[in-house]
Amino acid sequence: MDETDRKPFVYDNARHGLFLIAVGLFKKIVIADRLAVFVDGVYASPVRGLPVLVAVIFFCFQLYLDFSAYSQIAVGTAELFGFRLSTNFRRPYMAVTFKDFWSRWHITLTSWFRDYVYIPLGGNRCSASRVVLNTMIVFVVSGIWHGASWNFVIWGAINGLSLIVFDRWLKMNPKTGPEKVRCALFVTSYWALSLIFFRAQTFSDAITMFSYLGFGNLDSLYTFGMKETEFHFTIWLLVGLMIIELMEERWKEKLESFFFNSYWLIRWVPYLAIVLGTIFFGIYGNGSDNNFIYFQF
Amino acid sequence: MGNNTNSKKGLPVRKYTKAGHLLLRLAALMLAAVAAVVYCDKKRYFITDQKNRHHEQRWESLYDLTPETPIDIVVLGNSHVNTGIEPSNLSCALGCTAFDMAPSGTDIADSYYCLKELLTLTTPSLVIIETYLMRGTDGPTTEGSGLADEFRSFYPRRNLGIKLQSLPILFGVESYLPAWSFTLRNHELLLRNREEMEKNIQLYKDRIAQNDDHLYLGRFARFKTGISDTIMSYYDTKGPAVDGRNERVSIRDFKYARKIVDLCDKNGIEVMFMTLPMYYRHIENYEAWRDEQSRVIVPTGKAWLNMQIPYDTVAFDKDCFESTYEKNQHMTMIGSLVATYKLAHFINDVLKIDLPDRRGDSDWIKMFYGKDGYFENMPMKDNDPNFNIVAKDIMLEDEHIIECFQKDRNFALKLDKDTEKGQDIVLLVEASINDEIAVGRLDMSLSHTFNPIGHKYYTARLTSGVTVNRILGWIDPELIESE
Repeated sequence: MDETDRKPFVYDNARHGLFLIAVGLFKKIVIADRLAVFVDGVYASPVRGLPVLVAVIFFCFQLYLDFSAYSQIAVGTAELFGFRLSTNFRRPYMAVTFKDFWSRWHITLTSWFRDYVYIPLGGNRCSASRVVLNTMIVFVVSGIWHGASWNFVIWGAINGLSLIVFDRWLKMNPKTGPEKVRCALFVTSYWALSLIFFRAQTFSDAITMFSYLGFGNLDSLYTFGMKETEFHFTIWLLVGLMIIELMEERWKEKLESFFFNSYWLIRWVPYLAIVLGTIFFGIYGNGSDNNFIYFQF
Repeated sequence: MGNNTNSKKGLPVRKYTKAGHLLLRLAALMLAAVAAVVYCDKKRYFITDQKNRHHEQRWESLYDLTPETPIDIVVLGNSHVNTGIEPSNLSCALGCTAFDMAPSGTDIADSYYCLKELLTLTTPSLVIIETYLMRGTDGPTTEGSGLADEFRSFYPRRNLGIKLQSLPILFGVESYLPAWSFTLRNHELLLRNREEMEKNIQLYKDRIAQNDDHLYLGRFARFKTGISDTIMSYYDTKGPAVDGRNERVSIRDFKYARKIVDLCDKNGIEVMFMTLPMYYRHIENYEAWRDEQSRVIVPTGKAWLNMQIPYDTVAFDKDCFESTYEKNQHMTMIGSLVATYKLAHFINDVLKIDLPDRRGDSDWIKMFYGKDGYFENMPMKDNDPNFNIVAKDIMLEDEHIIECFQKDRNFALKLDKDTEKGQDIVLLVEASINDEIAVGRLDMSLSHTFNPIGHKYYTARLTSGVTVNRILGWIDPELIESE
C-alpha cells in the first residue's frame, strides 16, 4: 500500500467494523453452523416428509447466513482499517420479485455478471427473445461458476427461468402489503427449492429430495443431530433474525443512528449478548470443522 | 491516529478518535466475556462425567500432598497404568510413596509435561515409564474421544507456563481455546443435554459437601471381573485381538521418551521402563512390538521390566484382565495387584536403587495406615480395635510367625521370607464358634495377589461366626493327603 493510501483512524468506522465482525461471527457460528448439523444429517440420509422440507428451508437460511456472515466479516475488517467495501447481501429474503432478489443476493457477483456477461451479450437492448437468451446464458454461466456439475447448471437455469417467467412474462409487481408478503414468501420458497440442486451431491440425490418433500414423519425431526430444545431454539433464532431484517428493511438508517448514538448501556447489552451468545451457543470445539460454504467455490 | 476531522470530506467526527479508546472498550468487553466463562468454569456448570473425575482428582491430590509429602516413585502412563498399578500397595511394599501420573487416553508427550509440572512440586527418586504411552502417534490428537481425554488431562494442571509450553504439542490449533475451559468445550450441553449438566453439578456439590479427604495416589479402579467365557471363545474362534506386527513407535515417541529420560537425568532421578501385560491369548507376535519399543528403550541404557514377555502364565490368569476383545485390554484389580508386586520386587531385587525408607516415619505411617496394602506389608498397631491379633512375633515349632490376624472373615498369616513352608499350609487352631470353643484345622494358601518383599503372606477365608483364638501348631499337608 502506498503511503498516501494510509487511512486516518475513525473511531465510529472502526466500531462499526467491529460490530459487523461480531454479528458476522454470531450468524456463522451460532446460526449457520447449527443449521448445518440438521441439513447435513438430512442430506446424508433423507427421511420422507417434514425432515426434508425443514432441511430445504434450513439450507436456504444456512447458505444466506454463512455467506452473508463471511461478507460481513470482510466488510467489517476492511472498515476497521478505514476501507469501505460494497455490501454483498441486502436482506434478500425480503425481496418481492426475482429481479429484486438478485439485486440483493451476492451483489458483487451479480454486478460482475451483469457488467461482463449480460451487457456485452446485448443486455436488454435487443429483441425479447434475445433478452430471454441473454438472461438464461448469464444464469447458466453463473451456475457453472459454482461448480462443474449438472446440478449447478440446472440450478442456474431454474433461477434464470424465474426471472423470465415471473418477472418478465407474468409481470409480478406487488403493490399492497399483503401482496408483498405473499410475493416475498413465493420468491424465497422458489429460491429454497432451487437450492436442492445446489446442495445435493448428485442429480439423483436432488430428485430424491424433491420426491421426499412432505409433512409426515414429524417424530423423526429430532433425530438429525438436533434435539427438541435445540430445534426450537434454532427456529426462534430464525424468527428473531427475520424480525430484525424486517425492521432493518424499513428503518435501517434510523435504527443504526439510534443504536450507535444511544446511552452506553443500551449499546453494551447487545454487544455482550452477541459475544456471550457466540461463546455459549456457538458450534465450535471438539474438533468441529465448519468452514465457510463459499470456501469451496 | 487521533484526528478529530475526516480530512477528505471535512466532516466532523466524534470526539473519541483514538484507537486506544476503542481497544480499551474492546478489552473491557472481552474481559466481561472471559469473566463469564471463568465463572461458569469455577461453578463447574459444563463439567462432564463427575463420577470419573480421576483426571482432576490426580492433580488436586498431588497439589495437596506436596511438598509436605514427597513422592518417591512416579509411574508415568495412561489408563493401562491407572488400572494396572496400585500405588498404595507399591508404597507399602517398598516403604515409600508412589503415585500414578497416568491420565487415561494420553500419550508420552502428555506424560512429559505432566512430569515437568510434577517436578515443580516434588523430586522423586524413581520415574517409571509404561511403554503403552508410546502409541505410535505422530502429532497431537485433533478429533475423536482421545481429544476428550487430553482435554481432561490438560485442564487440571495448574502451572501456567508449562501448560502454555505444552499447548501446541498436545493440541491442534482449533483446540487451543477449548483446552483451557470446560465451558468452551462443553457449552453445547446447554441445548443438547441439560439433564447431564444438572446431574454433574449435583454430583459436584455432593462431593464438596462430603469433604472427602481420603488418600488418592492416582489409581482409577475400573474392572472388577476377569475375561468372560464369551471372550475366551473369541480367542478360540477368531484368534488374538492384537497383532504386535501392526504396532509401531513414532518419532514423537522417540523424542518424548528421550526428553523424559533427559529430564530425569538432569534432576538426578532414576528412570526405568515397564510393560504391563495383556492376556497372553489377546496378543500375538508381541516380539515384533517389543523390538519396536527396544529401539527407543535400549539406547537409553535404562532397565526394562517387561511383563508381557516372558509371560507369567500362573500369576497372570484370565481373572487379571478386562473382559474385552478390543485392542486396548486393561487389568482388573487382581491383575493390578499381581503387576504391582512384580514391579515392587523388580525395584527391590533388580534395580536396587536407594529409595527412601519411610517405614519408621510416623507421618508416613499415619498416611498409609489402613490403606490398601498396608496390613499385608506392614505391622499393625498392637491395640488396633479393628483386628483380632492372633499372634505376633512368636516362634511356633521352630517357625517364626511375624504376625497373624483376623478381620471379619479374612484370616492372614505372615511368615519369614526364607520359610520352607510351601504354597499351601494347614494350621491347627483353637477357635470360638458361636460362643463354643473348638479345635480344628485351617487351610491357608500363599496369596495370589499380595506378594510382600519382606515376608510370605498366607490367607484364608473363615466361615461366618468363627473367631480364631490361637494357633496350636502346624499340620503337614502331605500327611493329610496320604491319610
